[in-house]
Amino acid sequence: MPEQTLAETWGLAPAVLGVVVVGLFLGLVVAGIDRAVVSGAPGSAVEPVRSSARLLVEQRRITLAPDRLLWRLGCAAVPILALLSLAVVPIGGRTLWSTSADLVWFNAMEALLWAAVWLVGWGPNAFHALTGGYRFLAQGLAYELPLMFALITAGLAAGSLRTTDVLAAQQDLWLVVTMPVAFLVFVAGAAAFAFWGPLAAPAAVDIAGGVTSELSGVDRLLVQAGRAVFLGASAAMAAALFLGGDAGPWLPGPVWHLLKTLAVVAALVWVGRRLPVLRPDRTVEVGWMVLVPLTLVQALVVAVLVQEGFYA
Amino acid sequence: MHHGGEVAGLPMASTGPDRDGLELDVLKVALGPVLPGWPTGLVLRADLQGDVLTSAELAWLDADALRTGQAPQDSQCAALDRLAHFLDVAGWPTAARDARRARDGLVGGVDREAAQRLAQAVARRVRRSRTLSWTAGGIGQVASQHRAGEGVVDRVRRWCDIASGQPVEEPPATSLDEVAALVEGAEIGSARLIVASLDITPVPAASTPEHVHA
Repeated sequence: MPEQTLAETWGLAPAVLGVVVVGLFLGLVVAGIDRAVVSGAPGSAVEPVRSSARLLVEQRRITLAPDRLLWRLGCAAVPILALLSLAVVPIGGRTLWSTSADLVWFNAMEALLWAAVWLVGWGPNAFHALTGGYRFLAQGLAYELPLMFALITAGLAAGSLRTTDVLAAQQDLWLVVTMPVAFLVFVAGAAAFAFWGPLAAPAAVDIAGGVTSELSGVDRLLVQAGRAVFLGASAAMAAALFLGGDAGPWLPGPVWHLLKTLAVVAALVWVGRRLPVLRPDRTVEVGWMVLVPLTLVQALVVAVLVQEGFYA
Repeated sequence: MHHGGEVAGLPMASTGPDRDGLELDVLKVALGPVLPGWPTGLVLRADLQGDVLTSAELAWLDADALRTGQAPQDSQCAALDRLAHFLDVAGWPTAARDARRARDGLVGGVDREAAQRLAQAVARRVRRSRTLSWTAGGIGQVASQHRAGEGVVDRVRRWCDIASGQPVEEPPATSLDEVAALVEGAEIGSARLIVASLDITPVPAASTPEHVHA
């Protein structure tokens, strides 16, 4: 019998609220750690809270002849998709809801982000924003396939696309041991679709902030929060899929999951902020020439192990 | 060329042949006079097709005021400053931060030795970065005789040498025409990096026909 979901245990509304709170918490943690590393002052970790409050009351700046409807739609979609992707990430061993294809759901939310970010770039009728939108699509060509293969590899080992099943498959051995490439590609893919750190070309300084260049007030808050929540949700997903989720001695399960998530975030920020922004044409090259073959070989190795009964 | 009417009082973009022989929209944009990482007062007026600059023209805005407003700096601090600006454009905030801290320490800090160590550390880090030479490689090669083939990465490495305190012969400043030739045909991000990697100083109006009044 499949385990109960959060929505079934707590009721839909409290469960949704709980996931939103967890998502915002993870987003703030990601933004805080990132801020502290970039500025080199640990005290500036609270800066995201302060700037969020400021953006909430800030008046909107409007460009000439914008496509208001699509622009707003894109801005609102970024955080909503981030929270929806968190719906299939196990929190305390349970997901908000469960489909027979949780991994595909996660991937679909991130694929819909293509449209959302493109609209954020298209909306303001401004050159830098539009260039950023195009860059995001170019970068998507680079990361999407490797990311998909990495997700599927985890599902392959568990024999199920349900995240709780993938968790259950790691009772004896964390999946990262047999699929380190899939783990690394998944985390790098998360940085790419949140266009953060070295993969921030769609919002880079050389195009004046790209997709974010014309955003102000609530719109800016929505997009920036969405990026941070996506990173936090992906770190939690990486901890669940590859690092055994809430498995661990002495401490309660959720604490282990949180610690692993924080470790993934810290490692990502520490490595990512040591690098300059990568040009999208270069990342496409790496994506197709290196990462696609690597993740395919990784999937093949795992498939052979499954045939041998290694994960049984 | 055709004109597609007006939108919100602005003319629609006209089309022109692009480098692949297609008819693409030509957008007229002005970059500057204040952009992160670029010299203040520098304006790049360009025709854009997609994100490629098909023609470029550079000019100084109020060059006289800019020149008198600048305090003379010693070469190491100036190099650290330029390095920080370039790293901003290259999207490397942590390295840019360290370069600025080293500069501040060298100019007015109490512990000059620590600042010098930081300057050397950041210069070494940038100089040795394979990621930077990979992602910024192959763009902005100058054609002039004494520096033939020198690209963005080579120039940044020379700044790293100066920034770490080594005596390096500084090359003559690049003229705006040379810069315009370098950025023509470049992607917008590459163009930003190319300009940020060059030593361009404002030229007073009297000696240049490029001066533009706002």
